[in-house]
Amino acid sequence: MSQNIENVQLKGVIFSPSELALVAPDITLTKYIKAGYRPSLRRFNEFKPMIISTAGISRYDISLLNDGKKINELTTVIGSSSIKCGGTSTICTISAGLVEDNFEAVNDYRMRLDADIIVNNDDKNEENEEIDNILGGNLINKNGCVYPVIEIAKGTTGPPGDEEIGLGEKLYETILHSGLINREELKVDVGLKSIDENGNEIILRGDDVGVIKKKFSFVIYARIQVFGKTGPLFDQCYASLVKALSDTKLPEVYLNERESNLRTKSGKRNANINIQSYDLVCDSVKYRKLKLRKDRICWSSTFGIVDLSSLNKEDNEGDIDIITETEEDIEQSILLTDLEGEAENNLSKRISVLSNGEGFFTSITIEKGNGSRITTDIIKQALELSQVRAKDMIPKF
Amino acid sequence: MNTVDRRRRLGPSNAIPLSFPSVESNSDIENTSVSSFNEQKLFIQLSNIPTATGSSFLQLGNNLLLASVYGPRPSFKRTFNSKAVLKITFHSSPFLSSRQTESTFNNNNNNNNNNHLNSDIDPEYQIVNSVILSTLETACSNLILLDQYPKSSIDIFVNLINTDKSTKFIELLSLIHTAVNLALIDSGISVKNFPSSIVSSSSSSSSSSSSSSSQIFINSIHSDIYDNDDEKDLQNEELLTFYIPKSTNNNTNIKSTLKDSIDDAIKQSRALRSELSQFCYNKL
Repeated sequence: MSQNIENVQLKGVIFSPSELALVAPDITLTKYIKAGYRPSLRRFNEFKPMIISTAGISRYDISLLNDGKKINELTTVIGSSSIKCGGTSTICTISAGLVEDNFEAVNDYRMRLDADIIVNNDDKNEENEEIDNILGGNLINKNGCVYPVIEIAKGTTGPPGDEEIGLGEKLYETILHSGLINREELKVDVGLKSIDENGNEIILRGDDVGVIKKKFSFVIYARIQVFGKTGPLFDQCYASLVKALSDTKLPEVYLNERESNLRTKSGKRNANINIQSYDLVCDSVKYRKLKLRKDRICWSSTFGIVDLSSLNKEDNEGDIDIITETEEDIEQSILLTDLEGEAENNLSKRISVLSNGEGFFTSITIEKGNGSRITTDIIKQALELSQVRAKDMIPKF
Repeated sequence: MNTVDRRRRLGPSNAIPLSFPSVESNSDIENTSVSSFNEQKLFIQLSNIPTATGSSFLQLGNNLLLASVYGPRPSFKRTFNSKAVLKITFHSSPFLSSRQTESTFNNNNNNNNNNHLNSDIDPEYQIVNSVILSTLETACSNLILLDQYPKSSIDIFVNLINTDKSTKFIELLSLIHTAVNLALIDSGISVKNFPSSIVSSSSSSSSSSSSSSSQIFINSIHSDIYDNDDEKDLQNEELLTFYIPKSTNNNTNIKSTLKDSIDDAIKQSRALRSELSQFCYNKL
C-alpha cells in the first residue's frame, strides 16, 4: 500500500487563460494587475463608457410612427430611461400613484418601523429636534422619495433575490436622503372639473374649490430592468433612475364634480376611509415636469480595492509559486474604477461615492472588507476620481 | 390576509393608480394605422443580452419587445427526463394599464356614474396572457428538438416593454412569436427549421360584412419535403401553432375560407422568413 502512494505523481494542470479565469478568477486578476492591466484591459483608474438616453416609451413621448395621436394612451409610464454600459443594459420606467397626505406616513410606519419614517409632530421635544437636525431634519416631510423595484434578468423565475432587494433599498435610501426631490414638488394641486353655464369644461383650482379638503401627493414608482450583469449595478441603476426622473412628467389631476359630493364613512371604528370613492382623474394631455434639485443630482462611482502583497516577487516560471505573506512584504493597495467581471465583483473592499461634481457629496460608503486597512490616500484618490467622473457625466443627464 | 410585500419598498398600500380618461379617439386614424401594421418597419437586434444564450429585441412602432433564451441548462430533478423541459414566462410591464380593466371616464354621460369598468372593450385589443403562453408553448415545443437535450431545461422569457392602443392583440401575438423565434435562432439551440410567424388578414372571406376582416395568426416552418412548384409547395408547410380570434360575425363558410386564408398566410410567412433568414445570415 505504501508503495502505491509513493508512485502517485502530481501532474501539473495547465489551464488556458479563459479557463483559469473561470476556475480561479482571483489568480487571474492578480496576474493581470501585476502586468499593469485589468481583465477588461482597462487601466486601473479608467472608467467604463456609459450611454445614457431616454427610452422614449413614456405616455408623453410623441411617436413619429403613430402620427395621428400625440400620446400613448395605453401606458401609465410618465418617464423612462435606457442606459447601456458595456454588456449591461438597463431600462427604467417611472409611474406614479396618488396618495392622501396624512395617510402615507401611517402606512409606512405599519410596514416598516424605520426611524426616518415615523413622523410624530405632537410630542416633539427639543432633544428629538436636535437628533432630527443631525439626521438632516424631518426627512419624510422635506424630501420626496421613489419606490424602486429592480429586476435583474438571470433566466430564472421566483421571488426577488438578495441583490435585487438590496439595490432597491439602497436606491430608496439614496434618493430620500440626498433630497433629490423636494416633497413640495410632489404635492398635487387638485382641480375640480366642472361645466360652466355655457356648457364648456372648466377646471377650478385653489380657493374656488371648497369641496376638497384633503391633500394629495404623488407617489413615484420606478421599475428598473437590468439585462446582462457584468459588475456591481448600483452606479448604473442610480444613473438610470436619475435620468428617468429628469424625464418624468407629472399629469394634472382633477376631481370629478359629480362624485366629489360622495361621502365616505368616517369615525373611530372605520378609520380606513375608502378614498377610492373620490374620483381622482388625471388629465390625459396636460402635465408638468418633475423638477429635481439641480445641485443634488449626483453621479455614483463604486471603487474596488485590490491588495497586492508581493509586487516585488518574480514569478518562477513553471513552478507553483506559493506566496507566503510575511510582515516584510510591501503591501500595496490599488484602486479600481467601475468594477467589471467576476473577479473584480468579488472584491470585498469597496468605496462608493455619490458626488455632484462641484465638491459636494451626498453619500460616501466605505466597506472595510477583508485584507489590509484602507488608507486615507486611497479614500482621497477615490473622492477625487469620483469628482472628475461626476463632472464629466452629470451634464449627460 | 395581509399580502404586503415586505421584501421590497413598494410604496404606500393605499395609493391610487393614475387613471387617465381616454381621449376621444379618431376612428379614421386607428384604421389607417391598423392597415399599415404589416408595412411598418421592424427593428431587430440580436444577442443584446450577453448573459442569455440567445436574445432578441424588437421594435415596431410603439411596440417594444425583448425575448431571451437561457439554456439548455442541467436540471437536477430526481426524475429522469429524456427531453429538455421547456419553461416560458411572459412579463408585461406593470405600468401598461391592462386593457381588461381599463377605466373609462365619460363626461357627457352623467347618469352612468360609478361605473369605471368598461365591459365593452374591443376583444380584438384585449391582451390575453393565456393565449400568449399556450401558443408559445405549443410553438416552441414543436420547434425545438427537445430530444437532443435530455436532463436539461430551457427557459424562455418574453418582456413586453411597451405597446400602444392601435396594436391589435393578434398583431402583438405575432410580434411576440417573432421575437421568440429570433431569440431561439440566436441561441443556437437545435430547431427543426427556420420559423416565421405572421398575421394575415384575408379580406376575401368576409367581403360583405364591411370592415371586420378575419385575421389569422400562424407560426410555421418549412417541412423536410420540398416541391419545385410554388403552389404545391404550400402544402409542405408545417404549422407550429395558429390562432384565430373569435369573430363576432357568424361565419357559416369558415371551413372553405380557412384553407384559403392559411394558404395566404403561408405565402406571407415565407416572404417574411426569407427576409429574416437573410438578416440572420448577414449577422453571422
